[in-house]
Amino acid sequence: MTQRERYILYLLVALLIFLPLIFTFNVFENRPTPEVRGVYDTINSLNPGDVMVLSMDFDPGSEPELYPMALAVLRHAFSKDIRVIGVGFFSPQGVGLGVSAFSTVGDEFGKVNGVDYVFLGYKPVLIAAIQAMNDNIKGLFQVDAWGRRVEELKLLQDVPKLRNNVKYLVVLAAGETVRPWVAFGSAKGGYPMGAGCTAVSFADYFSFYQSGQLNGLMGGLKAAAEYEVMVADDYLKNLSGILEKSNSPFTVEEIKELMVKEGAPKYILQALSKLPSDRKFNTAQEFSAAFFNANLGAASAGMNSQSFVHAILTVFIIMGNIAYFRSRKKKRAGGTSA
Amino acid sequence: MVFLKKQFPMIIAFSVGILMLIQFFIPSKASQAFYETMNLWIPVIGGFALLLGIDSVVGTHIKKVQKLSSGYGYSLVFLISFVAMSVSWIVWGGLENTTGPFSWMFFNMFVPMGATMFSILAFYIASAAYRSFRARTPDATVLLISAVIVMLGRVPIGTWLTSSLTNTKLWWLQFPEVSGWLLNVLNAAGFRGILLGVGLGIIATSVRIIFGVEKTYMGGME
Repeated sequence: MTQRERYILYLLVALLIFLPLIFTFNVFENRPTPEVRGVYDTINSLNPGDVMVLSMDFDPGSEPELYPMALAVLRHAFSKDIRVIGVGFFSPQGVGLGVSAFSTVGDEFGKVNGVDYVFLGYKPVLIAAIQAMNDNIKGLFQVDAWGRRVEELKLLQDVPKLRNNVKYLVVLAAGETVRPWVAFGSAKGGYPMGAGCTAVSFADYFSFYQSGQLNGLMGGLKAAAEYEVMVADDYLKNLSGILEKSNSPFTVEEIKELMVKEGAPKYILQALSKLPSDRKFNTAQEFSAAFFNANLGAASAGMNSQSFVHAILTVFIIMGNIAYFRSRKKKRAGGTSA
Repeated sequence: MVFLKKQFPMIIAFSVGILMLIQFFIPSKASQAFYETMNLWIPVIGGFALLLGIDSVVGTHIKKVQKLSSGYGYSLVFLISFVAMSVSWIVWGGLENTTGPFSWMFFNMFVPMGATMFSILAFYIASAAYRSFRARTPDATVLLISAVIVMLGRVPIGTWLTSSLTNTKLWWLQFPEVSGWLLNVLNAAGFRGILLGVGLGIIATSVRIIFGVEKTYMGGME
């Protein structure tokens, strides 16, 4: 492979990543798979006030794949009024991402830090830390990621340990943290568990999903996008009754007024604010499509890029093999003639 | 000194290893209390390991800069970044101060650089796919075909490419279906074997450490 060929190849990959991000379009449907639906359905089945754990075991290196997943899971949990305990056992560098995700989504849903959610941060030695979480959270963490004493946090007063208290655990892992959580967290603590991982680790954990040790498994950006689709769909369901009452054509502002009157949740009003308030819609379907697309996150935005890059990689592999067989044929022909 | 370096760590490893093993089979309050205490001690010891790690990495880079050895510029960048992050955390606070320099550097420098490092892989994989993913042998051909199917089956374009087969007798030939079968059957079977092997390996290594046969954790002494 010449230097020039390499540059052309890099340029093609770069263009196929950037262009679909700049010029967005909807061609490829992203259907939620049963593995991702496993996590979604479990969270859906929880009751308001139940407690789940979100272990954000990744650092900025895996942020593009796992951070959108964390946001989507948190949005889903908070929309169901589920309380969430957050930790991050992969590396100290991941704490900032946890703080950012919990603050962002917490504010979106008007949740109170310490009451509706906590993010405890990082502790070294994963297996021991997981086992300690099962029996005594306050023994392991003296302060949360914001430096507040854990005894003062209402959520941890209600939930002093994970065993017998939490209803679900979701681990978003960049490294080898799923296996310890399965063996020492979920199995010993007696709570069900789902996981999310980078696309390259998906195959590693699939056997845990197949055996039922994980009741859901999200692999890479695609799974995050699938989760975003399900959450956006959920948001849309909140609007269906309201849309029937509106007389078309209508503006976003008119829908908003109607929603306030009907007592729609705050996060739906916030979701609506992603559309320009003066935008006019002729039909409910037109509005639904725009509202749905506006509430998809970073993962869905990256799906077109990922699709094209995977396709071009396939083309490269085919081209490389054609070149290989041609050169082999030439060599053989050369050998015969000699 | 030899006792402290060699025998003493072995005595600790043996006694704690055996006690942790025994407590698992004793359902008493004392046993549970011991287990919980150990689980709180271990992360504390891990915290000291982090300090040792910091000491080691800073020491290595300082030496590189002092000797002006090859790539010392990178070491200099590391040391400046290390001091900048540490000082801003100590003086202005960490992530709890959302407008402080530590938060700013974390979210505007560290996070994008970390993500960039990982993203560069896309270019290397593209180049490697073109250069070396060849059907040289039957094994390599199977690997190549599986890789292409899984690669297309895991993105929406793969679903779209074979969507015309959805309601036909050949529905099972759709990329997501074939990719799912490869992951669910062949891959899961292979990985389960690997995991069982890893589990047995962990048990064997643990027994060797507890009984003092394996001593590499003390610095490579045999």
